[in-house]
Amino acid sequence: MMDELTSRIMDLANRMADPDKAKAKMAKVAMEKLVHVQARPDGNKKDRESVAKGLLSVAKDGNAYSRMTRAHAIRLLGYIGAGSEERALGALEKDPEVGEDARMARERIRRK
Amino acid sequence: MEQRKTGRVAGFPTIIPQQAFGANERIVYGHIGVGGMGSSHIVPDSCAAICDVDAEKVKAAAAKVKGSPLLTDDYRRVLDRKDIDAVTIGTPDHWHGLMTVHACQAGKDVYSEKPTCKTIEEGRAMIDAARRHKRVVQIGAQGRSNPMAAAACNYIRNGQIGKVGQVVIWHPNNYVDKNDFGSEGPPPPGMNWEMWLGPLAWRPYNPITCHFNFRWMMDSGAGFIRDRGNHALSIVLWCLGQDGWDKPVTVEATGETNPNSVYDAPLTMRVVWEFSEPRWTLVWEQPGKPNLRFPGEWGATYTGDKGDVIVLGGDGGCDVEQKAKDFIPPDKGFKAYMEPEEVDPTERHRRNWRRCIKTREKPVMDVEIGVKVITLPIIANIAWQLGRKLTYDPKQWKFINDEEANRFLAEPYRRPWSLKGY
Repeated sequence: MMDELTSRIMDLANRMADPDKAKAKMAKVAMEKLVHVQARPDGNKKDRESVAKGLLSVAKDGNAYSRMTRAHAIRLLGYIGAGSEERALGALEKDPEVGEDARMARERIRRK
Repeated sequence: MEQRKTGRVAGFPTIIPQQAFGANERIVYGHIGVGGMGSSHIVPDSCAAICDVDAEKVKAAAAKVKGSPLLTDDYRRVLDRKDIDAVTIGTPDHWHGLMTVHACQAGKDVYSEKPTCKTIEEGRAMIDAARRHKRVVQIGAQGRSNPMAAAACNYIRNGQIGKVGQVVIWHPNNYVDKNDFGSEGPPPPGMNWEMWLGPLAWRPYNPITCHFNFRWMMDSGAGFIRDRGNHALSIVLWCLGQDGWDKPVTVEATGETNPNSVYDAPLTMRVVWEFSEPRWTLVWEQPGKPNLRFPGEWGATYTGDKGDVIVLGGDGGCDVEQKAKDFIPPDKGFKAYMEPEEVDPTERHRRNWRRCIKTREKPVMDVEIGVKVITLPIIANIAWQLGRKLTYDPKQWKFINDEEANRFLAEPYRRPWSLKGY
């Protein structure tokens, strides 16, 4: 069963496709805020992983989500992701739509 | 004479060893980005190249110059030219850092429009490239060439308001506040959108997110705080003698975007930076309330333990209260440097750069000062995006104890763009 944070991310990704652009933007901003809250220094590791899992699900699914929604999720993975997400993004580098976004997010995670 | 030659920022020699131009030797320019301010930098009788990703702007600029300059949408062709000594960069902000680094690598002196750069990593790379390749790099914050700002600087740095404890900047909201998402689609003929984006993550063309209004998108402009903020904060650091600030600073930022527009930079914003050693507070208020004693569209109130003073603006347009204009620095006191010719500040700023190209001195808004200035809005925007207070250590070039914040210090580029070269 999907946990709440993972589910929340995927719900926001769905809302980013709303034809009402103001609602779509609200969902995009909410996703960013959720990521940054969970990526804070004293954040809970399990919660962080749940958020990352949701972002990765969005990133991988070219059928359910638009290119820009996937790119947004990938970008946010660059801020919250760790080793396993970095590897998963590596597999996405061959994706014709978001491959370059994935490469850039990997670079952000790896950079010290 | 201002002690710019031996200031704390100047960890490098003031004179950049290089074969200097003779007094009558002509500087040959390439102009990159010729819309807006970029068009004002064109030197019509010494222009070897004009570059812009918008063919209409190239055409308009070409009509103003003599001879047959190279006309191109690719700045790398300008940098390849051996006959070009110096370049002006008037592109959208996200290109300033990368182009400056590449220009230095190509052996060109640089006048780059403000804001200095987009990220801390770019700032470091710009300083490194300028020093490694012995280039004269001026950042286009022409408030440093404005006699009103200099009067303010003299007044404050000669202790007329005592020790400054607080500076509060007021500024209007971002100019575009109407509800508008624009429309995405193919760019118009003659607009090289791929080159406009350059290192940015791809996004579709939307006419309301480029040209002047790139300022309101976080990836390209990051709002007024990084745009006008470069000007306002430059004057603040100059007036406080803090061009070389090197102790940790905390930053906290709040603000809201317009939920009914495509723009994602904060429409309203409030930032507080707390400096240590010396201890002082800097505030950015957008919208802010003009100080009614000396009102203007934007400005700052400097408050010390002996009084206060108001300075308006910070770019080519500055003004200061009469008491500062009337102040005459003592013989052995601080005197802000002004390039001698009395022309408008923007031209004065350019002339300072051109003179330094010949003498190999550091210009008044040397890249290192430019990076110190722009660091403040950069870290403010990061604090705003993360929604939490941050502590930045300038000596380490990073935030203390915040891994996610540190992931904002550099921005990965789309291929083929790289700070390592072009």
